[in-house]
Amino acid sequence: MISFSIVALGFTLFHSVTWFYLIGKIQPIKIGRKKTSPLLALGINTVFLVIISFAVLQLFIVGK
Amino acid sequence: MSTVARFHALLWGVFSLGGFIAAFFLPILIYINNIAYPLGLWPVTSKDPTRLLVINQTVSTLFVFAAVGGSLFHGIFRLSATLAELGLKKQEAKITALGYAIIAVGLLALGYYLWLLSPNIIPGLAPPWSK
Repeated sequence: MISFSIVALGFTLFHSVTWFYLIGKIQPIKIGRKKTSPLLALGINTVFLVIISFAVLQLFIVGK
Repeated sequence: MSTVARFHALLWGVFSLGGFIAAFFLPILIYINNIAYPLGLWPVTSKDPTRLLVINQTVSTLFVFAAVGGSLFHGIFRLSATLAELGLKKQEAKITALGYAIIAVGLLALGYYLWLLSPNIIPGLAPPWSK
């Protein structure tokens, strides 16, 4: 069961990475004449993923 | 734009929201509940995550509902759309109906299970077994 969960976690993280890259590709933000790149969206959202994960741990688990 | 097309667009919007929920919330939920707790890893160690997350905990119960429900909608919606694109075009209506049925049953079962664990989640509407 734990092996399955580790595989599921791997696929979920794969989904996260591809989803963040995809939103950078289909909905780039225009800043002046330039558009943001998918890699930038991936990087920013990955930072958000880490922050949100730590916030969930702090709010629901560590603080109790 | 017709009402059906608007509704279809709305469902794709919910699909997109489910994608964000799955991307941001699901990894940490799987880690807490399925990996950290059984293996005794940080930060759960010996604490039961079900007790910590959903038993009489309003905000974290909503977090679990959003994480699991959003991911379920996203996954099933995408799967039923993909099956139709993979050559099952003739069966598209049946596959879509089955997909919505799975989503509806899954969301109801999830809501019921969380309500069992956290009966005070809906103020003023406690389940009969808690009286």
